[in-house]
Amino acid sequence: MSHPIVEFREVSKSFGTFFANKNLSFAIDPGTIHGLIGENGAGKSTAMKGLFGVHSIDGGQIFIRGKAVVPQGPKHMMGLGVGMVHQHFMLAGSETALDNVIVGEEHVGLFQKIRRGKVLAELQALSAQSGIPFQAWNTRVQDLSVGDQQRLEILKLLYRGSDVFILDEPTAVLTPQEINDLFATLKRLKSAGKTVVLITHKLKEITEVTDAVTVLRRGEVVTTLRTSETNASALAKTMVGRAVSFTYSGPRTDVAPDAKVCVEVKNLRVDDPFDRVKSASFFVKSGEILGFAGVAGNGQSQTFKYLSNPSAFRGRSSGDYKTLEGAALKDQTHADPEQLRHSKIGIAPEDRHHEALVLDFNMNENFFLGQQSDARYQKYGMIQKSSVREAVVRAIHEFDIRPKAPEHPLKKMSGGNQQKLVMARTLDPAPEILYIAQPTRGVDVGSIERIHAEIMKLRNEGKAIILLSSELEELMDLCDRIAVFFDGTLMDTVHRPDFDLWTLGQRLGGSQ
Amino acid sequence: MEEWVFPVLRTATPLVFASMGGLWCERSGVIQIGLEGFMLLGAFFGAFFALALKSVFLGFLGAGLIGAILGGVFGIAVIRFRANQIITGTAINLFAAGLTPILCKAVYGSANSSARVDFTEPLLWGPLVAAGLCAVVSWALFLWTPWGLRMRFAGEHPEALQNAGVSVVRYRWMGVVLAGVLASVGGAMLSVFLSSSFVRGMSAGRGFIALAALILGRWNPGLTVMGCFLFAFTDLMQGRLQGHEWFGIKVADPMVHTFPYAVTLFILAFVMGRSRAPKALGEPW
Repeated sequence: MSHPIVEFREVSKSFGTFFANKNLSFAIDPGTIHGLIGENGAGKSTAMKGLFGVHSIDGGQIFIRGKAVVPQGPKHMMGLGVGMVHQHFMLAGSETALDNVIVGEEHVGLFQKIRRGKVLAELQALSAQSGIPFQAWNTRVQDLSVGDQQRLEILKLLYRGSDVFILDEPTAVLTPQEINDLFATLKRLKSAGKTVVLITHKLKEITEVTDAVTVLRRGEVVTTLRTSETNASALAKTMVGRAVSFTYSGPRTDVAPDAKVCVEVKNLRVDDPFDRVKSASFFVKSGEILGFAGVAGNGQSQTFKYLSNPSAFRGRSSGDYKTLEGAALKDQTHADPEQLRHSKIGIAPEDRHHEALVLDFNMNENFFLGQQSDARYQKYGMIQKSSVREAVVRAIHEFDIRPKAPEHPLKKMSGGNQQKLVMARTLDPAPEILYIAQPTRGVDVGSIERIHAEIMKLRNEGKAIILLSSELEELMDLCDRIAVFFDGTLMDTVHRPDFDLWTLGQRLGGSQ
Repeated sequence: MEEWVFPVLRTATPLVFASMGGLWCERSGVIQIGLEGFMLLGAFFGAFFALALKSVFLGFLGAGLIGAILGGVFGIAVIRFRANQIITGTAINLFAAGLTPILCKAVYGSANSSARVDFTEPLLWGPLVAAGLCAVVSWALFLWTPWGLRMRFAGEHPEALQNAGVSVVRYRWMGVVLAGVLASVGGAMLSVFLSSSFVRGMSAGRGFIALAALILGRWNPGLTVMGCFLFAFTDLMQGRLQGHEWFGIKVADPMVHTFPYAVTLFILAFVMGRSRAPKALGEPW
């Protein structure tokens, strides 16, 4: 039995109180394609940054070919034969493909002439021998297709002597045809005795191409399996659901039998090359929570984005979208976030750092974002700083946000406290309808409970809530109904009495 | 021929040096708006060292040395402390404009001009050959050597360079120091080669024109030298147009003076769009 080529033993990494990686242990066998799967924020990229020495690990050890190493950076790992294809390619667009391979490994003195002809011949031989086609060596990288750029990255690593190829979400930017080509490339690498680590959140890729798979969730390894001994449904379940140590135990009022429909969507379609919504119809009544469940890329995020800002999807969406305003349902298919806010809809977006907050700004400024037309915070085009600050102080007390300093920049706050500020802003002024996405992603355990209790309180007060989460447990804990998305389609809405981790997991994986 | 080629080459000499300095600096990813200041300081110290050491060659060498030191100061600010590159460059320009008259007054008793460098025959070919060499060597390094390739990557995709195991910071340091040295030598050409004394403010925007040539030349050595020739030509035109009558109207000299700058503006406004700066230009590493 040979050594694993890469092995993690009890590797941990935390940022403040938040564990990005907790006691990761898994081994990758040489000559295999090993999948590393998990939702966004599950700790996949933190683990790989640890492996490449981009940051130091707090505890545990990393072994390469059975030897413990302390990673010093990409050059060091390259020397050990471990190379990485980053999501953002390490290629300079204005330089030729050839020069991109040569730089740093010129094999001549600094002021001698680079032997481009010789390298070119070597690369052509390498391309032919490995079966990874590439011709455009003298083309500038910016003129190459994304698939070609990716092949170039792989050939670059091959040329520099890599044995282990780590690919970070390599299919995110590819067309389906290019994905097929990539998989062919990966299989060729494998048959040449190389090891491939495929980081992804797409189940299909794992079942299609890998030999073994390690599932990460909330910074921990859930399991490592042989791909042949599992299937998409079982993987979906392990990826998004597993017993969490806490559940909501507060009051849960019954949904009133005459509760009004607050959000109604019929036959929604959204065109998008990467995340398409083919068909989704659903409604939410006041005093209930509708969950959106799905493995990433199956349309639930896109549906949420559409609900949050239909005006951004003009011309590539169709269907009905109505929300309750006063006594009647109002058409929202052309609304922008500002108009939605006037319709008393509160939105907490999915990506806290990119869609919800400006991390360099302080709490006051972030609280004001999106409230610029609110008469309480703005007079004659001037920000009413004192009333904004008062509102933030109120929010700090109400949500127990720390530190208790409105002038504190967001980037110095923990994910949990950032999320609490987002929640506070979403609830000001008090909405009737709430769209909340990933409320506990990257949030420490203590704050999760606080946020869950807040969401349930709103529900019990009679708000209509749509909750998007990649945590199946979270949805099962809070929701009254869960809408299951698969392949861009809202397949089914499951009612609370029928919630069951196993059957939900199967449906997320596409089984009926 | 005789009337234009030789004078254009002469006038272009300081520009070629300064723009090659700017080229390496900006290709390595650091915005170099301080060429003007380096040139002015070079002009003073070129004259100063030439007079003090009674050698034109040592004048150039001294100017280069001072340029290296000031390039280092610039580097400490923008590389070590990641200061804003445009503001730091502007500070260099203001510093030079303020310092040179003070030094001039202290050494030569007048803030406006130095003593004359008149102990030697007027220079003819030396500086021209040096400028030519500077351009050709830059071009060869740029195109053929690992050093040039790495400089280009430092400004285009520093992360890729770092990933290949090369220190981005080291190459950027070389870029800023080279800019200081070459622009100062270019400045010394003004006081020692094109005239024979330092005159207050004698760089007169040539640092910016060198920068314009660089942009016009798309950060490419060959094209940048062409840009220098173009601007040298307009500068020469300006001198020769003074006092001319146009259709019976005499254009005031200050108007004619604006000619090279107007051409710079015009060309940058209409050519700039197609020129692409190094991608990571101005981003601290």
